[in-house]
Amino acid sequence: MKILIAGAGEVGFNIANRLAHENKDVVVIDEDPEAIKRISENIDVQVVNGSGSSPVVLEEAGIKEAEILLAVTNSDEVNLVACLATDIISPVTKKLARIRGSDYDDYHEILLDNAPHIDTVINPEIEVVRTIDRLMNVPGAVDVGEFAGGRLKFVGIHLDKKTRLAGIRLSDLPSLIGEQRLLIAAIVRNEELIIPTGDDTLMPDDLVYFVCEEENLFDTLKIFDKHEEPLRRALIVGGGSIGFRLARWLDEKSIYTKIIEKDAERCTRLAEHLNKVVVLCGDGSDQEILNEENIQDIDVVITLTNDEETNILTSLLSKKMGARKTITRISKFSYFPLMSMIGIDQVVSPRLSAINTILKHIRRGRVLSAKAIKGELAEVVEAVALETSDIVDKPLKKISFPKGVIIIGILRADEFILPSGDSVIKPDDQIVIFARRQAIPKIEKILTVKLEYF
Amino acid sequence: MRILDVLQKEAILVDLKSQDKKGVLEELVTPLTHIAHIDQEDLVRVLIERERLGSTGIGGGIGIPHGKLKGLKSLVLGFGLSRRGVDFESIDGRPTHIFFLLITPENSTGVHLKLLAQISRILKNDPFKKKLFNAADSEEVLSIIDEEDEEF
Repeated sequence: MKILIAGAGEVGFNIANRLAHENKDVVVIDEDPEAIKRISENIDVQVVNGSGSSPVVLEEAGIKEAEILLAVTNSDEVNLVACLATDIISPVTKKLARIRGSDYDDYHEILLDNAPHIDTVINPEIEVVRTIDRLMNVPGAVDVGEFAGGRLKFVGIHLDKKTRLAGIRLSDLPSLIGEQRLLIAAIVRNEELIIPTGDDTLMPDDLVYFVCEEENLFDTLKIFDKHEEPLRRALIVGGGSIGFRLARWLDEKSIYTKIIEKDAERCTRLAEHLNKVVVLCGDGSDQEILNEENIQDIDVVITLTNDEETNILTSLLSKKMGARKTITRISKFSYFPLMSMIGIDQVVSPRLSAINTILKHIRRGRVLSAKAIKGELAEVVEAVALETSDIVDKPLKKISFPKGVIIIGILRADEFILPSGDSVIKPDDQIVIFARRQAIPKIEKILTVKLEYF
Repeated sequence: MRILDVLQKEAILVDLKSQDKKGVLEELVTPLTHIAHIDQEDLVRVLIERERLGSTGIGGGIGIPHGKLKGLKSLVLGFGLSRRGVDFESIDGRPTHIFFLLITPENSTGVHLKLLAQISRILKNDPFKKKLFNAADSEEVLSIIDEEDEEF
């Protein structure tokens, strides 16, 4: 499968890197020779130096043979034109484009039905606001994924230093928690991913990923000593487009929200467009302002400026000054592993959101959603089990899964099944799979159909 | 029914030019769009989508791309030969030379599966495959298939 990526920024780089490891045929286009150099020095993919919006460059890069175009340059306009040129030169090529401008929010479907016929418009900002909302609403969660239309929650939490679960073997967990069923999909310990068996034990500071049904979420969290917290007051630092989207969203949910923005003109615009939200003009990393705004009474501080260092500092400061929870926007992937070290647990990244959306569309098999875990280590894939594929009509224990793969949920019509070795997946079931990155190509193989499938 | 009942001479291409999956599907589909009055782009999309679920390059130089198409009246078959071979992501990783393309209406009741089985069966015969690969024109393709073709 040939995939053309226009834009060698963080998203383009990350996707190219993943795909190169999966033996897919990838060509990356970028105008900036430095960005191209970074790609060719680090990843084994083809590169073309030129603008993704140029039909000549696209042809040179092989758009006619490409099954998918990913238009992920920094510019909405270049992405749109790249899709338009592709629509003319190679109409069958599937087009995915990142478009951030909110003016386009109501036009996503129109762009699909009319030229440039963009199959999927990726707006990471909308996705980031959703992620923030999920993080706010699951106490103690570092990471929250939703599958099967929200019915299945995939949650990552940090065990406390003094957790009562320390030293408990997973096989002994059921006797401790009674009737509830809990599936621990993975543990991250010292930046290493463990897919646990019954013999593994839990340790303080572990990052534990578990799966549960929506209605059991809060009961399950109690097992880990994470209790429901009221969410009444929020403070947003940074009134850019994500900050604005989030403020509007919190406003609708009647959460008392303040937003701090440096730029006076931007403040005026925010105040004009926001109803009950209090707009403050100032520097969010200024201790005095935080003090004046009674930071100790704030339930959640969300730092969303364009400067990630400011976000990190402001989050740390707010926490120190008594804010209960912070959520920090980070862009550089290289920062991710550092965050938990310095005490920043809840992190969001528009780029990571974009990557998750893209993954869903380039996986083989009928994939409904995909989510990268801890940046690179693993992926959760939600897919339809298709007739004739290797995964259906036999007990899970009879299927030879590659190492580092577990099925963490089966959804059949309205029934949710927490899988065991005896569970049998039927054709058209929705399944949720947790897989180490190295196992992804094999997962794709398990999901693929035989010749007889029409 | 036999293979030759659905394979028209116009749907046979003995010298495919493309060497990639998308290109060869576009080529194979072209004569069928006239025969069955179907939209080329729609059809190629259906075929590529099916390929994404699992390649129909079954190895041994054979590819049998297929799919269901809304609004199609009856089953349509196409045939193509590539001298140089196509990267069809086949299961044995080798180039694909002989293509049967099968498109069936959405509500087809199983005749397409019988046809698929028949095609797979005759292609297991190596001397036949060799003769087919060396066919010079569509007439010859038809007569070679005719020798092996049976009622199903």
